[in-house]
Amino acid sequence: MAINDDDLDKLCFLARLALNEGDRAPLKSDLQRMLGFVDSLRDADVGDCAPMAHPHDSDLRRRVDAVSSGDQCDQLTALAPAASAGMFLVPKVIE
Amino acid sequence: MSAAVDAWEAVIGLEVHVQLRTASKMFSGAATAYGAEANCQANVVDVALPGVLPVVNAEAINKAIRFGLAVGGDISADSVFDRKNYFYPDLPKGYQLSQFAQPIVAGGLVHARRADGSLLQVQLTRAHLEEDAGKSIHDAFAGATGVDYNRAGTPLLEVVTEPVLHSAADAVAYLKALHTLVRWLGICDGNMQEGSFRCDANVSVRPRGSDQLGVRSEVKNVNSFRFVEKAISYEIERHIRLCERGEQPVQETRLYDAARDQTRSMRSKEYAEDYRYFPDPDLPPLRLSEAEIAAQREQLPELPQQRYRRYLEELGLSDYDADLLSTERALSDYYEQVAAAAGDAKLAANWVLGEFSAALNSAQLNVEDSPLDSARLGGLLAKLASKEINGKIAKKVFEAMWRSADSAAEAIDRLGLKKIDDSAALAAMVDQLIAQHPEQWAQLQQGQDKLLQFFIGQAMRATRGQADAGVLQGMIRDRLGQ
Repeated sequence: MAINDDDLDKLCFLARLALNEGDRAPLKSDLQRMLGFVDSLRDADVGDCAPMAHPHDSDLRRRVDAVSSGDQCDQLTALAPAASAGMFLVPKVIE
Repeated sequence: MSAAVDAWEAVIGLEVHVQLRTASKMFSGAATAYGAEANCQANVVDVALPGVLPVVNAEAINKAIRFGLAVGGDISADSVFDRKNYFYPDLPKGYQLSQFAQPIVAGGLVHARRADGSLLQVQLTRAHLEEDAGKSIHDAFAGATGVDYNRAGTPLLEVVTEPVLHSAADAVAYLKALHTLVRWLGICDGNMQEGSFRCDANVSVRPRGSDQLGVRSEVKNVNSFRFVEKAISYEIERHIRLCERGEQPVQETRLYDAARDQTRSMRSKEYAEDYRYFPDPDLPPLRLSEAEIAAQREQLPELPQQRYRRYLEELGLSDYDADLLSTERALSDYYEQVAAAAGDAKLAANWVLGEFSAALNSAQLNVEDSPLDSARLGGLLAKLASKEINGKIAKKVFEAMWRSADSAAEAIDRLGLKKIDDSAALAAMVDQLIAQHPEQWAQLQQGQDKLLQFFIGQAMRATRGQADAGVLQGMIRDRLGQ
């Protein structure tokens, strides 16, 4: 499968990436190679393998339903570029 | 318009987000209580700081299993958490953890009743576990949106129906039955104002008789039964109007505006809905053993639908009473205990739905906070059932018991309302009444039977209702020579 400019535009939109014009060709080539690698996996014989959702045969660890963390508002909002009244502030988004 | 409307059939499928009642979040140990100060209940996992890992809340899983068993769905021995990728500020990871290809519950049936009493069975597609997003506040900051992650990571069970509903009224009947069920099971508090039970409706129309599905629109996050009904009705009419004009509805998400009673477009789905689901590499599959599922099955209570049928068929309650007594678990359990103690199921139903519910209402109390426990009310009704007291006295005793910790016997004693069973004293009183009212007595003797009630009434007044009306009637008839 070849990556064309439309595919690249769509991937960039989904990943919210704004590419410089000069980055387009190298990225297209990288993506092409990744797809080539994925294609090569198709050649592996997996006839005896059931499809799996995870490479490790391990059980999902579960925790008891208990509150184990308290108010971290000040520490968390201190990491944010902008915060006010305990809230994280982001550029206005409204639908 | 109605002929045109009849030519179309609405097809509705519902997705309900049921917030599971847990102390902590789906994948973190932060609290889930509603109404806390912004971001005081968010931790490093909820805001997706680098390097943190999710750990699943066992109680959310158990509650999902109980739901699946209650609707007769298949509990998956192997279910998987996927990443649903999209960007929005209230989703700090850039993906929501949700179950896509392998949900914990497949299938199932919800039993609902329409307003006219007819049965509505709604086929479920699935129910899957996922995490809630945070909340965006758009109007509090100039030029900025504020984000509160307290809700981020709260466990949700998303319950999805097949597109099998055909009217707004049926959609609401289903929602009410689901709402009853999740509260009954104790898996959700059902508070719609606080967003604990939120509905998205997928609506389309097709020519009546067709088996093709039309293009659907999705109405998001409607938070009351009344608004769901209005929003769906509006959408059905809008789709029919478009189709009648020969236009095709667009696949899109719409918001219901209650103030204007209309829906408006929120975003077009064609580009936005590319979620690129894939299994979360941080969470291995959730494997459930038969023993774990059986342990949850043992915890299932008798379900509202089962109780409703038992009330109708075994206890002989009216449809109306059976319905009211199988809707709210606390009231239903209270009724069960009263009926057992009273030994008379119909009498207990009358009193629990009558005097008791009226007293709760006027005191603005929940059943759980009732000052009169079920054993005491049952004791009072046992005395009424055995005719130890009559209905009028029972009401007085009820009021006294509501305001005290007395048993029925204690309240009756305290109020001096014990039934007069001294027949000699009653006989003397009857003779005295006859002497006091010679005209009425003569008329009664001449066959004016309604005067029998006059004498019984006089006797009841004289004894403050403590005499047995049947005994009095026998004594008067004796004296009439009947």
